[in-house]
Amino acid sequence: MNELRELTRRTLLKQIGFGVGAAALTALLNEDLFAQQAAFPNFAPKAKRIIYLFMAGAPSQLDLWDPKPVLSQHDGQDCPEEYLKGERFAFIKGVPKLLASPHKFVQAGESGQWISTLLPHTAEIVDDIAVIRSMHTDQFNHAPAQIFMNTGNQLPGRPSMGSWLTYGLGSESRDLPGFVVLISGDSNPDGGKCLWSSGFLPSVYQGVEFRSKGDAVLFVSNPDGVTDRVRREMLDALKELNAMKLKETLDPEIDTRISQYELAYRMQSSVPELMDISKEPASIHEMYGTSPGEKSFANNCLLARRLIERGVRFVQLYHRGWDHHGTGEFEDLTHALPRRCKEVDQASAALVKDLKQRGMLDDTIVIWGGEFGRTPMKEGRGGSQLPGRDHHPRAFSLWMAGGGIKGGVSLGSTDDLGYNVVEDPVSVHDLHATILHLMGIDHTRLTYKYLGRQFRLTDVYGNVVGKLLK
Amino acid sequence: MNAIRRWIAWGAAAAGPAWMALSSPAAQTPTEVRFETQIWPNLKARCASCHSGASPAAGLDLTTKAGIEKGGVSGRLVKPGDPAGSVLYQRLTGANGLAQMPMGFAPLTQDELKTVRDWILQGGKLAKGEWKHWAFVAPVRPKIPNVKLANWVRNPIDAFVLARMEAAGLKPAPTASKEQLIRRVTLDLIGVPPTVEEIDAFLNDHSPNAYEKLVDRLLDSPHYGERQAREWLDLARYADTNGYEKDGSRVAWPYRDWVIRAYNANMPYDQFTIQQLAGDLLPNPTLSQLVATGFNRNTMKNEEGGVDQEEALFEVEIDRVTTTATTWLGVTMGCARCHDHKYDPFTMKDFYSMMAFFAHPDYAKLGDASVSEQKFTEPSIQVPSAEQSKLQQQLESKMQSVQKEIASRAEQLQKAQIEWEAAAKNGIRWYAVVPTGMHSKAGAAFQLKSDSSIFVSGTNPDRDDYTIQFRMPAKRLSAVCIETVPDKAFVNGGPGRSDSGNIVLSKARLKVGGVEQPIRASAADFIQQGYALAGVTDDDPETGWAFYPEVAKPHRLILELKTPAQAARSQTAELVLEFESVWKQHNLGHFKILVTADELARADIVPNDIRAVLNSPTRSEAESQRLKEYYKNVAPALDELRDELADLQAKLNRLKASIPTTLVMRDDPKVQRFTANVHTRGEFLSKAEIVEANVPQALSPMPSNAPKNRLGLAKWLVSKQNPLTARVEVNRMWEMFFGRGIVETTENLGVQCSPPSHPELLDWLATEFMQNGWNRKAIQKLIVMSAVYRQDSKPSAQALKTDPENILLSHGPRVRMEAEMVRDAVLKASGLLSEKMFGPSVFPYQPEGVWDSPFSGEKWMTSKGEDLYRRSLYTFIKRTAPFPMFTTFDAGSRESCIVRRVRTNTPLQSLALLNDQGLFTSARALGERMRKAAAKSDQEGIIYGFRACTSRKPNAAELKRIEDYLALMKKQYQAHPWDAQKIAGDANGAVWTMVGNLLLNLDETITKG
Repeated sequence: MNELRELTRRTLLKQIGFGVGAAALTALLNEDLFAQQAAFPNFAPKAKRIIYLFMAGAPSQLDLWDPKPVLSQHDGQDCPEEYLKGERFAFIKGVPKLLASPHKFVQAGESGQWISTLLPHTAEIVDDIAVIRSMHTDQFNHAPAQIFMNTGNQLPGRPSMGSWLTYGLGSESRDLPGFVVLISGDSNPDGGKCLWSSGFLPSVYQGVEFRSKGDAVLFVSNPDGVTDRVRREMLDALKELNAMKLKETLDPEIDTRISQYELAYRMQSSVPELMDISKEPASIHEMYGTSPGEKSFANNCLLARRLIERGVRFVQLYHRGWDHHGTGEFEDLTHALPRRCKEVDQASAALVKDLKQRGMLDDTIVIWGGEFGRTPMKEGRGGSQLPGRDHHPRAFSLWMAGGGIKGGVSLGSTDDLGYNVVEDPVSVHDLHATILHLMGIDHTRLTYKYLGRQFRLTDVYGNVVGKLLK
Repeated sequence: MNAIRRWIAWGAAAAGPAWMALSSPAAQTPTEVRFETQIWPNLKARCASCHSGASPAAGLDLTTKAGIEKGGVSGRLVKPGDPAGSVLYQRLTGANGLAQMPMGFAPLTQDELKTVRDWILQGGKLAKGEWKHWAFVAPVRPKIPNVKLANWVRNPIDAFVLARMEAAGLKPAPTASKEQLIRRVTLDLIGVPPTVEEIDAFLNDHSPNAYEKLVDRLLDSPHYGERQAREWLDLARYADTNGYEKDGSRVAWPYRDWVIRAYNANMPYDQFTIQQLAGDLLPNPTLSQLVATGFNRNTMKNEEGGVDQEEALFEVEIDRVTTTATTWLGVTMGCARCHDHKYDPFTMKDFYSMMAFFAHPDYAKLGDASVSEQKFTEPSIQVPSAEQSKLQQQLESKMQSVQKEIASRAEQLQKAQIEWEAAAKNGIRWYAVVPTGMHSKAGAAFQLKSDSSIFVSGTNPDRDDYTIQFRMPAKRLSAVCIETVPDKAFVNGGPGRSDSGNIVLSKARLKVGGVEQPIRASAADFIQQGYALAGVTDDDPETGWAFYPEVAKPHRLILELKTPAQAARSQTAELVLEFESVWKQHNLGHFKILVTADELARADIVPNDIRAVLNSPTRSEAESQRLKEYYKNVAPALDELRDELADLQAKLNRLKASIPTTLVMRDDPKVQRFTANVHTRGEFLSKAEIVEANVPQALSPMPSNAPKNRLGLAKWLVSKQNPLTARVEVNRMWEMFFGRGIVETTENLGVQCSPPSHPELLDWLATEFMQNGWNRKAIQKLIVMSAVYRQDSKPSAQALKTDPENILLSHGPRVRMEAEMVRDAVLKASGLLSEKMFGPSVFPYQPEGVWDSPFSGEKWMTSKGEDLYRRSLYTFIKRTAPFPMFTTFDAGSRESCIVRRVRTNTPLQSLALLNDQGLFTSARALGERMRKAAAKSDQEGIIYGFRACTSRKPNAAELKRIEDYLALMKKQYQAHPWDAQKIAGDANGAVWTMVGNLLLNLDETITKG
């Protein structure tokens, strides 16, 4: 059978399950089709894995990360015309008023980084994180912006970052997918499941959603009345019958299928074990604010740690509900934003602290942020008096920690109103290039041929942001 | 597959068929390097992103022959015979300390560099004449090759394939067994495996044309269209929702049914093309031809709040161009949206000229811009049944007669109008009531303020009903008025307790002395868009009175008693206000109740312009007329006729809602010439020059008499001069049968396509397709009747060694089924598959929680009865949350046009086949079938099930292994009756279910071999 295994490229490509990435594998095998690709990683990686805390809906940088005293001084005044000329907004009409943050900022940690008082726990880790205040994007509607942030293109159809990474590097886990998605908050994020789609890459690289209700992984549980023993006996029979067919047809696909059934069987025990956080010590539960069995961001943070401990390459958490326009108390800056912060602050900080105490922060990247920023102007839709901000693609903030990222720094700056980036702009492609770089990948080399050309996560753009690196 | 080879035909130099210019890989000796085929494609692929266009990097354009001859700022590229002295070689190797090209990308491999070096050593010559990619030259019918094994050949396909096999020293595999054949051809043509009975019938048919009879039966099967449509619907990106954040549902299934019917009728591909692209532009189009245009209405639609709708529409038009180009031309026009195509001869101007065909859709703005954003909506048409059409006509004619009646009675209302005018001028005498009782169903607290207004506080439930009691203020009660009181205590200073300050009064009722009084909501000073006063007295909780965004102003709603109540002053009246809509907490928080004994209470609320006419001392003729018109709408004498009209309208609305609609294409009728702006860098906001609708310049021109609209475009696509359309379609058909196209990249036949495995065969099939009148069934019959197709799928030892991917087709195909076919095959084997065709999409078993959209409250409502077991192409497709079993097996999300699905083999597929509730139900049903077949012996049951799944009988070893497993299961479930109970009711049922589960998981069950 070993000879057979070496017969065809397709076997090798499909032998992988959730294992080695195809790009890496084909390069290792000196596969002609991919011959121009060097093996991955291209150079010594700083990080081995990523946890991306995606704040869907776009948290307000002006109320959390980027304090603007000048904006506060001009609260309630008309926004200067020079800013509005030729600008398009999602909801703002006419000349909007400037809006000071209703929240206070403090300097925290030894580094003295500014941070909103809405994030007291995150304030405790400011010395470990780098706040990028100069992010900008092209998109100002949620779904396209989220798709852009995850795939480098605003239309559905391209592979997501997690898919690219598992395609290039594979997973270090024998029995879990390399790319896992966890969801909390109001509902699924606006962009839908294409945010973790593998696009034109083989579907083995798509993000696998681990759910909090029902089967954690779809179909992982046996039907009622089918015990583990029955399943094993059934799989033994299946294996032997498939092997007979393999011998007759010499089709290596069958060989692959046999191993995939075995992997599926291992997942049937590894997934429930993974999802069971009840055996974590009380101190950990206290640190994260978790309670077993809940659908919460905190539980997902703890699960993220457990996943990467087991070798998963890329874990992405989505927490939806940061769209604070101010049309009602359910989505304004004084009522809704503090509530949302409370849901994520403690667990996000706990995750970084926990990784640090386990010595895993050095080779794990943690990312926290949304898909765009929010305007320095009050939206005031329908005459609403509540403070709220419209979508703003020109400037927003995002933080990163661990895995070769400098701690305790702020990168880039915006103008006095927080409207435009004035120093060290970081585009979405730059962010992607930097993340790949930390993972040991030259972003120009991680390519896949589709529709007659080589595609990249960074399209034809992207520069590594050197100032963020240790 | 060493250096990536491309197939270039020499348009100018070629004599005879374009293919003659091709040389097979084996024939190319390393001493004769050809730049155009061996080096240029690689340079274009790797370097052209910088070295192309109007201002190429270093002045070097690598995409044209002229550019290559000219070189760049460093002069000519090649010094013949001297690689080290040639700029090209220097830069590719990074010599002299200069940056190695391609900059920022991986360098060329040693082999590739050697090819460049060899070429320069040989003199670095470029071929003469125009360089043109083979696929852009119209196919010429090639000669059928001579072969040695001539008696193996059944039709020309075999000669082409055998010629290549013989050249490579391969022999064809023996003919497949009859069981393998019927399975393969049934799956290929109708998408489900044959039944045991069908297999037996075929085995017992010993006539010489038994196979052909089988093929003909399948081609005539109504399920043929279902199988064929699945692939087309991937191209058409057909789905049941709009996509993006809102992802609301749409009704487009009549288009899906149109595709099935068109395939079943074997509509010629040229007609199939014309109707889908331009059915609406045909003379007197039929309903069916209009439905066909749904092809390009399957685009996504972004309805997220704050989206620039013009931009959203622009993206839709872009998608129409790229999808049309991919589907019919097999090229990636999308590249030319932002810049001239790097590899294919398509300019940006070409792209926007193509877009001009689609750039003037007929659209309407939806909604009131003063209240919320407006959305664009393109046309949809109703597709009624005959019965529905008749009923609609009846209702419409009744409405007409009521309207006539209203008009004629309105002529006799002068006296009443004068009374109404007086009432409007004099005003109505209202009295604020002092409630004697106030009650909230949910327990909210009421406070009576000194101004007699009522303030609500305390618990604020999602829904509430208020009951307000008061004594009759006079002996007569003719109307009640609810006056809202804006209050800073509530959000946005509104009177409502909701998060917007708004309310929805879904119903009002009034009793006097315990007797229910028929009332009419006769006037309000402001009504929110989308609401109407009739909703205040009907039983639908979602209709009623609301007033967003004017929440911070006081409003009045007048409820008139249809007959004024006469009662003693001591009698109690009771007003019930219900707030039962889906909108949470839209309960009234501060308000007053007023009553009057005056007639014509509605006259108290008159719009400002009418009030001005009333108050003016003089009246022009036009003003009098306006007043009369207005009065017609409020005259009490016409209340009943208006009610009747509203009732008919409601019936008509309900009927219309029950008539399926579908999305169709229509151009803006005002537009005569179709043009579009070029958009610099493809950006919506960067409009550049205007171009006329036209087809790409590098391909054949549009026929001179073809109109420059979608119809002309469609006719050009299916003209015989078009080099691509026929090749693209026969190539896709080939892939359906063999699992791989003659050009493997079925989605791209442009310069960067993979080289055709059988170029002459591709052209023979393409010319055959055009000659036979674009007859798909005829081409498919040729394919399945060929000896190539009928080969056993087992490879020979030599084939395994020299052609492991079976590119030369020396044995039959063996591929895993596509997602929908897997599910259909499982349902078919278990006997559950419903034969029902067409109609609204269905909701088979899906795990809970897969649909959790941020905005649409739509739920997956699992279907009932046979709709649980319909063919998979009828499954509802939600773009942001596709059916999980399908995505697991590599189906896309239908967000964009997909030509080729990648085939994977993953553990998640194994888990789905093992445990998905829908599929496990099939195991139970198959178990039941086997149990019945096992009346005499277990063996017979096993054999029946095995055949239902794999279309063949198990061999002795297989049978033995399954019997052993059966014995184990018997032991297990006799010992654990409780487990058996959960699976299938009893032990025997559980045992056979688990045998079914095993058989449905066999690799062979989900494989077409």
